Amino acid sequence: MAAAVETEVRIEWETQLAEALDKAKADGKHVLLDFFNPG
Amino acid sequence: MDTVTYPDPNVAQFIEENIIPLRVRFDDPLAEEFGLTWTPTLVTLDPQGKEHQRTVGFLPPEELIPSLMLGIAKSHFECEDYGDALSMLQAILTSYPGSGAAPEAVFLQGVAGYKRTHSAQPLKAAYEKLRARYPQSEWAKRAAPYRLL
Repeated sequence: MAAAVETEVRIEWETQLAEALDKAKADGKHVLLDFFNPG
Repeated sequence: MDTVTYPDPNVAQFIEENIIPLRVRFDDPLAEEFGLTWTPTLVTLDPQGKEHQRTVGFLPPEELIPSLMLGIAKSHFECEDYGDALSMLQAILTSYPGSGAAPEAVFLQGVAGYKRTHSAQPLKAAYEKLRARYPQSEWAKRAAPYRLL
């Protein structure tokens, strides 16, 4: 019997505001804008 | 956030299904445009780019999801889409009643309910719910005047 394979969902971040907003409009979603410090 | 919150499967799934994730460095010109003062800062934008919520500092998985839900609910509320706002607020209270977002969700339920019905009853109900479930929250204090309605 084949073992179940768990598929990991990973966050695929946008990096440009304009592109994120275009996707948000197309998908009818909001945008999470995360300002971060990569350290 | 990178060590604990974003790798969490529930967080990743919520973001995948509900919101477009955008990551920008603290020294990007966009940070100045948004008046960034500290990281992490998380901002909820509507599809037109208008800001509806901002949090500063680390959020664990069980707080990030309801916080994002609250941001989306605020966007609906501020766009006078009270039905969708109320649905999202109820989802917060159903799935994350112990979260930091929950008391504000109750408060907004009252205000959105009032805006939709022009009845004082939702405001009074919000006050009663806050007094019963979140008596120490700042939102219980803010709703205190509604007991007189």
